[in-house]
Amino acid sequence: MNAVDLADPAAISTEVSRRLLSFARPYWKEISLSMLLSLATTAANIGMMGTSAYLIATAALQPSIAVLQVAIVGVRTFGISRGVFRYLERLVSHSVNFKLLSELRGWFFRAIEPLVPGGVEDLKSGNLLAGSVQDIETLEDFYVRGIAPPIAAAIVTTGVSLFTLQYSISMAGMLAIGLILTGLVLSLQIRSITSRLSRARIQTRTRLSELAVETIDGAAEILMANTVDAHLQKIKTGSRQAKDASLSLSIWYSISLGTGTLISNLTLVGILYLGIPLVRSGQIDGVSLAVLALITLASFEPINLLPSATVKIETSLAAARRLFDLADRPVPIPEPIHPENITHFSNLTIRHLNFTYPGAQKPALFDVSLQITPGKRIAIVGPSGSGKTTLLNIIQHNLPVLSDTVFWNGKDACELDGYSIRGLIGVLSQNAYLFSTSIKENLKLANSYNPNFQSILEEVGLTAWLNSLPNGLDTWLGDNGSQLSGGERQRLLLARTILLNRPLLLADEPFANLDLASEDKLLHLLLQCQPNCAQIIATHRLTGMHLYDEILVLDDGKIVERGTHTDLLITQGLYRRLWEQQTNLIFFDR
Amino acid sequence: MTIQRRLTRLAISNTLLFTIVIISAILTGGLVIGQAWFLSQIISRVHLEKADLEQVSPLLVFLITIVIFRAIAVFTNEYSASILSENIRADIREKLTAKVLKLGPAFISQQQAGSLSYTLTGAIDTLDAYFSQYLPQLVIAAVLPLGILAVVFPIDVLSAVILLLTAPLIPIFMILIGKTTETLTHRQYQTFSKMSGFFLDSIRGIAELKKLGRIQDHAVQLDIVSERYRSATMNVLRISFLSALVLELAATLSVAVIAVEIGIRLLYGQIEFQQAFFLLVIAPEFYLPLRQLGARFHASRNGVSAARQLFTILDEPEPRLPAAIRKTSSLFTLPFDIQFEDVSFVYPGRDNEAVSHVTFSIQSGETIALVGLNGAGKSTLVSLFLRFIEPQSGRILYNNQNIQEFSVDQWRTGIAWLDQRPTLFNASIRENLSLVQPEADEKELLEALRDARLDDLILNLPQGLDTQVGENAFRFSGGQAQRLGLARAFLKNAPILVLDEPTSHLDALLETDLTQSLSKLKHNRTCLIIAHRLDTVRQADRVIMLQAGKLVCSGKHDDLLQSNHQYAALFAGESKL
Repeated sequence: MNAVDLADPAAISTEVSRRLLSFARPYWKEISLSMLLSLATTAANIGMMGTSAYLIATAALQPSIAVLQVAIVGVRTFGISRGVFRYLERLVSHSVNFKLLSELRGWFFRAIEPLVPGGVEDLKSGNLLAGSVQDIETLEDFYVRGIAPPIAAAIVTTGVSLFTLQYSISMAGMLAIGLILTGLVLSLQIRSITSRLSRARIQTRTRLSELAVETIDGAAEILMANTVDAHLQKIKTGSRQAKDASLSLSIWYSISLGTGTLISNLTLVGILYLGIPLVRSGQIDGVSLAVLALITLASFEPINLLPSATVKIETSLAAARRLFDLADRPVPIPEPIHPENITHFSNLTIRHLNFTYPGAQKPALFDVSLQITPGKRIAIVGPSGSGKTTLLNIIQHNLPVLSDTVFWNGKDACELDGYSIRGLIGVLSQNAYLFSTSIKENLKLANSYNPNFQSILEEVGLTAWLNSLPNGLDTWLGDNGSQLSGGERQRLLLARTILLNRPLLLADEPFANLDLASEDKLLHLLLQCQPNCAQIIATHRLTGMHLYDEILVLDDGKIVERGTHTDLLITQGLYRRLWEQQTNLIFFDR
Repeated sequence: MTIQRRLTRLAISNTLLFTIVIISAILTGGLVIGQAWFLSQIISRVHLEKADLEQVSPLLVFLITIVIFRAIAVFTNEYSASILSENIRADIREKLTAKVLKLGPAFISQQQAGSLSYTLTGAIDTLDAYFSQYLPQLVIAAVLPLGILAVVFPIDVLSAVILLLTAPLIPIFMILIGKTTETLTHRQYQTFSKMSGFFLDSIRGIAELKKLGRIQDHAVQLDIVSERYRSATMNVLRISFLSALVLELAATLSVAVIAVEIGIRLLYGQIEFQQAFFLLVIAPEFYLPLRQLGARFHASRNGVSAARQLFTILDEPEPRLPAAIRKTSSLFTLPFDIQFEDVSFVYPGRDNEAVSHVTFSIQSGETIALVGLNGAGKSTLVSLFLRFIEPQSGRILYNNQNIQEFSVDQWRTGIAWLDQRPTLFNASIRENLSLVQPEADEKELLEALRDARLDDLILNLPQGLDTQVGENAFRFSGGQAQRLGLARAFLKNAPILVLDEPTSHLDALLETDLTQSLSKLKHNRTCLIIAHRLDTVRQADRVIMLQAGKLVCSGKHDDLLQSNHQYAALFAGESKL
């Protein structure tokens, strides 16, 4: 995209189209076939109208029936073949279209993957990412309406004009002008107008969904403030703006339809106007005039679809642009040129680590050092926003750090393969994702070789729950585990982590929102399940702290205290204060 | 069927526009017939009589006039249909929003996450195809073929009979094929939504897949699933396209039969050329609207199923209130007492009572803490108090008057309500504050901000109170949002405070800040608090414990710990710390 002047919308559209077309290249055979078939459909239609006109006009002269026989066969053949060609064309174009879309899905998934996490988190709660699923579906319009129909239209225009040339240059010229006016001039005009307007439309629709969210989230506030009428007024205004923006697009869409009708039928009048003197002077016969009149109408059929199709293609290009913009984002942590693989874990050392988020004024982490070896347990505690999650993200290789700060088995993390680092780490966090499939499939993601899921679920205390499910392990979990209660969810995630069996376990507030008894139980389980597993747990709930070898107290990105639970309670510092504050909170099972 | 009738009624209620849509549609059809007539006249005169331009020029002028009017009619039809669709959708959007607000937070919390916001936005949009495409086409398909038939009958009975006999073939085919393809397209739709669901799931789960080390496998899996669905969908399409082919062939063959039939009669001089040519041009137009209706029918289906969702919400019963509303200026003047008298509430579609036969009282000036496990009925009780819902049995009395006798607005004016996570509206900070007190002046706003300890932060913003809360401007942290909620409560300055205490940890400094602001807010007010802090429970004048909707006990914390074993058990976990 860099070579293009980004301020010029036309240049952007061309560039986006070029990239979209590059996906179609491997399928050029199927696309050509579908184009040929669409051409054949149009040709059959023109042929049918032409031969019918010929049939009727010749019959009026009352020749022998034999003369008409050919035309009769022609009408039938063209009529039937038109339907068959259209059927085949639809099959071929849909098939290739599905292939293209699945290609695009695969491409998008692979293009986005290096950006997650870290590269797309600024996007509004992942909505934009989810929106790209729909965006990809919209690209259908580009491939279905954007490639074959314009080329087929150009060929039809040329063919019909050449055919008419046999009779008269002026009539051929008239037909060509009419077809080009509709197919090219009108289409381009509509495209340039609507691309501007569709942007305004998107803005008004964003505003509407924003208002919808405000209605739902803010209902209580709106009701308590007695401002229902004011809110409805906002909806009304937003609705009206959306309506106006939509209608300003519709009016051009309608104009393109009306103008298309006008041009095609005026071309017919023009053909008659030019043809009548020719018949009179005997240069062409009456039959030909009838044939040309109907051919004119038939040849406009595919052309008249082009102006309105450009509106859809524009939408499609806008969607493609969003997709490309996402895929082109910089990768947060580029892989080293010659990455070294790391296959086992003997120690992780962090030395004087500083980390500042891009654009932030002060560092999120300052002079943090720690070391962990197999079997060691570290707890990181501190108020929210103190840098706990940032530290865990750095260990997971999700954030870029300077060289000479993070070392795995003595090797600088900056020179290691990121995927192999992540391969050593098991992560347990509340916002972990559960896939919208069965319990079994979700567990298989962690370990497809260990089929003994029942015993793992028993370990985390889910046996009773599992037995209550009619479909057992095949129970569908719902959208991101929506069918689960908070406790079930966290237990299931724990089971998945145990199955994963990685040498280093990172846990980020793993059992927040559980009642104390459950939390206690799961914490012990977590510590017992893999005795040789090193663990780093970040938490603001100070439960089971005596079980950890070392506690790091983070405040404002700095380690302000470190030591064991007993040491830190004696110190009378921040840890002690957090401890006292904690005793004031009641944790009912939520 | 009733859904479609309701949708149609919505369209008809926009009488003027709907009339324009229909008239322009009928006009378009009439002009198509007229154009065919003049075209056949001209061709006939030129072909058989060798007429010159001058002789047919009146006909050409008529033709041009028809063409111009036809273009105008096409434009009018399309545009008025869009306006109709936009109007109806805007109307539904407003009604739906009003309804959702009327049903209130209790209803909203019962809905599946995300589905309600889709109903308010995407679902309404899918109605467009129904109103702007399907409905006008339905009228055209009903009127135009009849019109053509009416014109053809006097001209040539045989052709009219052929049209009449073959016409039902198309709807019959359509119904026959429609029945089989309906299940097929339904299955295809399911297949498709499964596939796009899988893709969405993959995109949302990328971070997780990466942690699990399954990225490469999953990318391959995605390709496989995509391909599997492609071939499944193609199997369905092969059949449903076949149905379109059958329809088209039926229409084409009918046209061909007419062409050949009139051609042969023409040969024997049994019909005039002009009439024959006219029939030839008009015959395809006879079948076209029916075929197009079939295509648009499918496009409108999503809208119909979305409409079902919309109507379900619009039909949701609203709480019925007695008509007689008592106006009193003295609401919440001290002292007052509020009495819950045997109050019960069941959420629609649920079996068990969320609040069951609860009786207790609140004296003015008292602080009451509500405790209980999740789902015990604390929030429902608060919803009843705030009148987001009305009890199905029992009464809530204010100074011995049923509160239903007061208007809801008047009742709520006396209550400030503070949620765990206050909603920030996409507007300026000023608007976000003055929401609760539109007449508040600058001084009052600043005072409320100061009381909530938010003044330093906001006054240091370049645009101060006029800073926009939103994507690119200023983002509130969780703690700051809570303080904005506090500022709102100070600004409202109502005698009663209802509070859902924050459960999340804040940093030690912020915690102290908030606690101080909160105790200032509670001072001299009657408070009903869903408690999450031990201090709150200890300091409350009375603690009320709920369990499974029932009131278990009420009294001072220390007393209850001694006297009630359920209460003691609820707090037992805390002592383990």
